Amino acid sequence: MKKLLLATALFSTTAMANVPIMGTVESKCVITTETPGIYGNPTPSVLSTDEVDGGITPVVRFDVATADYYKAVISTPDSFSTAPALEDVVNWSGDVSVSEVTVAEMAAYDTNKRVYNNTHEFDLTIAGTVWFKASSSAGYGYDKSFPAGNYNAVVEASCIAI
Amino acid sequence: MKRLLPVVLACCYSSYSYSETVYGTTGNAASSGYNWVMQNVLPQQAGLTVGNVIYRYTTVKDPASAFTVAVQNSDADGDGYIFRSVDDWTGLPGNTINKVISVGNIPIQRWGDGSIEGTGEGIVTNPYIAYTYKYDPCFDPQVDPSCPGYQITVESFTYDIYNPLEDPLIQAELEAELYRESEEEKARQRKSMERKQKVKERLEIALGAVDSVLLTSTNVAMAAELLALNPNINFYYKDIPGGAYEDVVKLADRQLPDNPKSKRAQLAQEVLHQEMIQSQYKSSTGGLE
Repeated sequence: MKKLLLATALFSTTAMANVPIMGTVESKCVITTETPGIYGNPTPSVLSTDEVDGGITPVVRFDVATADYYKAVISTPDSFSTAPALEDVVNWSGDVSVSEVTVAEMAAYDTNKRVYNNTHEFDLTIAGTVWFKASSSAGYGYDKSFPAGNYNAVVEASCIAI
Repeated sequence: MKRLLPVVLACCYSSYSYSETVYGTTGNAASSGYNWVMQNVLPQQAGLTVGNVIYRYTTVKDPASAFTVAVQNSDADGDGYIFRSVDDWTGLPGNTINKVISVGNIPIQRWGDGSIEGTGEGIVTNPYIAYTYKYDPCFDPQVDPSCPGYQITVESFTYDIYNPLEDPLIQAELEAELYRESEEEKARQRKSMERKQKVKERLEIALGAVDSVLLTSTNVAMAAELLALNPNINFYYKDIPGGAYEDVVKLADRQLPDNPKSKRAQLAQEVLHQEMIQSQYKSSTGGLE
């Protein structure tokens, strides 16, 4: 009886194994902040990143390893991330443009960009590195002086697969 | 344990020298113009190689215009370029381009003069060109005693053997000496000849005097013998006093004219001479003419 039980047990056991599959997706689009921006205050009612206004325009770099797979989406600020309490409206303006390229054809990104609201989209059709500069300007009320304090804003840059 | 420690320390201590590769990046080669000489850009190190060319410039142009920009270095070992990168901005708006181009490790001696040239309608501004390089300070181990492979060499001196006879100054002096000796020898020979001549002349004078004395004495003796043999002979005998007998008659050098008185005699002699000549013809023709 014992022998029969053992034989039954052997025939009824099923073999199983879990074979792992691993993979790593390297980023083919890397965003690096090349130059942080600084607001200048040429008049009490204006904060601007333009050099002529005493500011520094932020620069962001996109390293694209594969062409035609990504688009750069860059939004200029439409609000302060930190600022003193503001009682009046802030009028925002901004622009994003190609500042440097590694391939001459990338200069066409500026021509072919799409703009909506405060967002600029560039199709990254060429592998290589491209630098974008994003200027920002804020006017307070109607020629109203900004309250004293620290003002911070953020330029959002994204690399979106298409 | 105390014995083992020095052995371990000796194994760990490395006394040999080693060299580390030096990496670097040049300054802006185009800082003073759109053409540059690589000898003024790269460190002049033996074994230096260039790995990358970094360049950046900005174009200002009409997007519709055709414009190309070339960053290049001529090949120092031949025609053409050892490095050339062309960016075509045709149909594109102007912008700033920033490139890093790997060129492998090209030896320094291949890098000729560099330039950045634009072709077409547009201008290039703010050019920046730099080269990354590396070299081994001990590429030639003999440059530094700390380099591995450095060999202490005993300098072999080569001596120039000075042959004074090949010295042009000494040769000139020897030739001058030889010339002087030759002249002195000639002078000696001339003096010797003159001396011999004088001796000969003196000897001749002496012999002449002896001869005259002997002749006189012989004559005297002969005269005495003659007188002794024939005392009746009365002949003239007189001594001639000695001394110099100079010529008395002297003719002055002047034109001596023919004697006009002798012309008649000459004419007569001429007539006679003609008659004598004609007479022979008469005798040979039997008197017929």
